[in-house]
Amino acid sequence: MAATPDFTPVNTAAAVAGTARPATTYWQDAWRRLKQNRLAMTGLAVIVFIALMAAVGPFFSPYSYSDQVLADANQPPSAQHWFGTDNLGRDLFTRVLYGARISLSIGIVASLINLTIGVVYGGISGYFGGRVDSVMMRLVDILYGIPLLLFVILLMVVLKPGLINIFIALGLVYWLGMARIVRGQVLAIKEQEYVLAARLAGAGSRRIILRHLVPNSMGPIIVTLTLSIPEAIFTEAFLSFIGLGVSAPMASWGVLASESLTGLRSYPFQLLYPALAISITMLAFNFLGDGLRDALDPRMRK
Amino acid sequence: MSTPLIEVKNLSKFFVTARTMLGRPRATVKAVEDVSFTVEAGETLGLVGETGCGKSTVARTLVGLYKPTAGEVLFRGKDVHAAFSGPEGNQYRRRIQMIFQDPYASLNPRMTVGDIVGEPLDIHGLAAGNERRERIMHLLGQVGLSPEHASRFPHEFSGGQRQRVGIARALAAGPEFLVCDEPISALDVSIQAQVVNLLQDLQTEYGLTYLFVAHDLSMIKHISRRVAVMYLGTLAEVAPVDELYANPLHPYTQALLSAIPIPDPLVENGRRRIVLHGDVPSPLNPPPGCKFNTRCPRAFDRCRCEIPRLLAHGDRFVACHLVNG
Amino acid sequence: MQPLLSVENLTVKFHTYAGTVQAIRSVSFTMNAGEILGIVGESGCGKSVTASSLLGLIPTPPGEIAAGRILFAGEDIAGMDEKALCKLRGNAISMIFQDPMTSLNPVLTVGRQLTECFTTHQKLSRAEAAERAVAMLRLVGIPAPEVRLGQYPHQLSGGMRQRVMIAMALAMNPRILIADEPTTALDVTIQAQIIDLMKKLNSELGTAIILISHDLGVVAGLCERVLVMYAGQVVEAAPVAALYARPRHPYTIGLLDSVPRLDAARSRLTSIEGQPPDLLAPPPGCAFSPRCRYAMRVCEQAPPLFPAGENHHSRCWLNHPACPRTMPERAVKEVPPA
Ligand SMILES: Nc1ncnc2c1ncn2[C@@H]1O[C@H](COP(=O)(O)OP(=O)(O)OP(=O)(O)O)[C@@H](O)[C@H]1O
Ligand SMILES: Nc1ncnc2c1ncn2[C@@H]1O[C@H](COP(=O)(O)OP(=O)(O)O)[C@@H](O)[C@H]1O
Ligand code: SF4
Ligand code: SF4
Ligand SMILES: [Mg+2]
Ligand SMILES: [Mg+2]
Repeated sequence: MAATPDFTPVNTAAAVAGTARPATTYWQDAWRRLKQNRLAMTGLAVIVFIALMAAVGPFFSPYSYSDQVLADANQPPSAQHWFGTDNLGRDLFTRVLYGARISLSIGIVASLINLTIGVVYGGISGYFGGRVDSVMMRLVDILYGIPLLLFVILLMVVLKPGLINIFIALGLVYWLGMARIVRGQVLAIKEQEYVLAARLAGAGSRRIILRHLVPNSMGPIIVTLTLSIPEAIFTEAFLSFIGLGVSAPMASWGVLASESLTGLRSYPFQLLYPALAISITMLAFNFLGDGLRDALDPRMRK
Repeated sequence: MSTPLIEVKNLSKFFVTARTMLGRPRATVKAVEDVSFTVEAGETLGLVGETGCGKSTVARTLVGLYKPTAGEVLFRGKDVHAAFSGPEGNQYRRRIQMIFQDPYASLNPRMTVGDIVGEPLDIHGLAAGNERRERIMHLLGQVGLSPEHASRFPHEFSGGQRQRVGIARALAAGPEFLVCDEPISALDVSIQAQVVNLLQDLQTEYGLTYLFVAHDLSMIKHISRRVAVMYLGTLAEVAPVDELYANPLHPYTQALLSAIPIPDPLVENGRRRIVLHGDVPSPLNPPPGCKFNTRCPRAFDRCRCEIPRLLAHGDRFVACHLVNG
Repeated sequence: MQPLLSVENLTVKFHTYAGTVQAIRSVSFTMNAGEILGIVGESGCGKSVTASSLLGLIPTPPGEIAAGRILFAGEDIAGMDEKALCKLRGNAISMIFQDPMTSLNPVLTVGRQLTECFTTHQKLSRAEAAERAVAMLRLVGIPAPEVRLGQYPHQLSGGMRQRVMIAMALAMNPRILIADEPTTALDVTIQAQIIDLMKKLNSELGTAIILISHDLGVVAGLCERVLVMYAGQVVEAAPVAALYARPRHPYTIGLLDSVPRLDAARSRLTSIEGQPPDLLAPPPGCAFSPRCRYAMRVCEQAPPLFPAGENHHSRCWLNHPACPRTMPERAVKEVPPA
């Protein structure tokens, strides 16, 4: 039999070490979950790729987006012209790259305008609650009742086509969703015990909003923001397609698609590439947005 | 007699839960109705009752989170709600702090523990820079946490440790009166004792006064000097702890005490229980007369029409026709 | 006599991103027909996982029954397929949960949910099923059962919902009823009603009950035998009287000393310092050793279950016959004359 066990007493330090779980912040945790999501990561990679191409691609292209070489009109895709040329002999690949610049900046700027208006509007409505909230939210409900695309089209007709006006029109219309999300978040968070504790400690509205409400609503705001970018890109493409978007010779993807229509029967590739660009970008943002929703949703946290 | 630290006079708090199209109240919950009691400096008053009887509502009205529908709360003879909004509001506010029930919802998940504990210091400008850091370390030490915890986030802590952070935050403002709303209900049995011991040590050290809300009558007996029993928004009985447990006068207190299981099979099997029938009525539609009359084993006709008043019997108070005559 | 249920070296793991959670580590116990068995322990110690594995309810993945057998009437539950499990859950073992609201379907009436058991499992006609449903509700003490049948779960109070849950669990006349913290969400006066009801059902129907609770008082009043769990292991198993009178494990002693008693004089509570270990990396040797005041060198090795009295076992080295130290007595509490 083995030797008698050693019954000497030992001193246990009562202070037990913390948890064995790796200490991670909320954002590290979210990033870890996002990384596990293949679709979202693919979306992110595609977005980064498109953004890079839009930023530096045109510098490496031997063609300009506006130079017309009528002799080369309507070339099919080839080694010289990867995506072929359009009916004025402009290199389509270069034009799609330029289109990416315009489409992406429209998506991002319009979303930032939405973000600002939506967060401020929804934040005020949720924070003050009561009658203020009722009135502000009734207004949103009414605006929601109108088809937003119709609204944008009307605005564009009034404002005249152009890049800046597209920013304005999209920014003015698409903040409704953001405002609703932010209001819901603020309403829920302001009743949390940590906000009550801050109020008890004497915190004013400013501190409560900046230190407690805003940081804790970031997750849903980021998700909504990401999902509103493809919406803005699509709306712009649609507006350009019906002739209310940016003006020639600027080429957003919508303009390219619209121009291709005249020769659609003979040169379908002229529609194919801009349409692909639009679809891939929208899909990428949607995948990323969905992935972010899963990664940032606090209910999934344990 | 000197003025008590806290005096609650005929406090009522109603919540409107539904409104008509014109904004008039359609359904009202009488969460607290005509409640009066006092808390002496340095003592612990226990507040017990079943879910939804209005304990948290009393607690939150006391600290100024809710405005009373009627009645008043006096702190050293001054109306707290007036004082809070007055010119020296923050000076009063600091004196009355609260410890919350849910250790998960009561700490901002995006702030470090150091910032959470330091927030009251920042708000009242009590300390800055190096001094602020030292105060935070001292406070963490007071509640049994270590300095390196200051840079961590709440989700890295267990429930008991989070509750300690909440206590440190409440202490930071330099309070005299602490309202503890079920501070241990969400904790494990072995951790509850740690937190209760900590609260008792802090009380001795700083001469704190507590209102201790709980539904666990054994714990209330352990920690309180006097106990207030609530039922459906009203006080049933207020009495010094030993008298209440040795000789409960109100039929509800009697039933409540007999329902507590005792961790000893010999005692437990030899006990005779008063098992109450039925459920607590909805506070939206409470019974007329004594609110306990639908479940009271000793109810009689008068109980169904006349509300019993909370009357003094020596140093205890009871709201029951049977006792008050 | 062959026990009704026998669990042998049950080991359950959950594979998570942070690592493998060893939720249950070699748990063994047996249970006889008609017995009331209590399982106590702090949250996260593995009570619910033990209960879920008895019903084959461990979500796989991330969960996995890594080892062990669960023999019910001689058959191994751990190896059953979904079809056999389904039959088992309906007829042999059933379970009630802590929160009755989440386990009742909110959009179906109580009657609909209750009669479904009878029409699907026992192939009774609608009328017969309704009759049985009324009888079941009456059995669990619901007044005016005919009215209640037509109501939805949210129209009932917490205590009544828990009674409905018990009625549904008992509908198929199971041999074992597992009650996972059945009164934790309820008030003390309602808790007293439910405990009375379970006692009555056990003596009248002979249903064996596994009562999971963290409330030492509830267990004391209802159970015949108790398992104390800590960090995924059974650390002490004993008949109820022996466990409370003569606990044989420092953790059990600590638990009993850390709750104030209604019938005892006030004295400072003896708390257990520290907190339960994270089951991602349980301490080597005795899992309680980092918090144990009696820890010895030998505690770095995992203690086996030592016999500690009649039908009494404890996973603590202090029970080793050669151990020179004696088991600490409980801080004696003065019990005033009744
Ligand atoms: N903000 C509110 N709006 C409407 N009704 C409320 C509100 N707060 C509380 N009530 C109601 O008031 C009554 C008393 O609630 P309170 O939260 O004080 O109970 P409690 O005794 O603390 O219960 P618990 O043990 O569940 O915390 C309940 O019926 C509750 O539903
Ligand atoms: N689905 C799951 N995924 C990962 N870990 C789990 C899961 N379910 C339970 N666990 C872990 O198993 C351990 C025991 O849990 P449980 O049996 O629910 O405890 P309790 O004693 O409170 O009922 C805990 O550490 C818990 O975190
Ligand atoms: S007043 Fe009547 S109903 Fe109320 S507690 Fe006393 S005896 Fe019971
Ligand atoms: S085995 Fe050792 S450490 Fe574990 S409970 Fe017994 S004495 Fe304490
Ligand atoms: Mg409460
Ligand atoms: Mg559990």
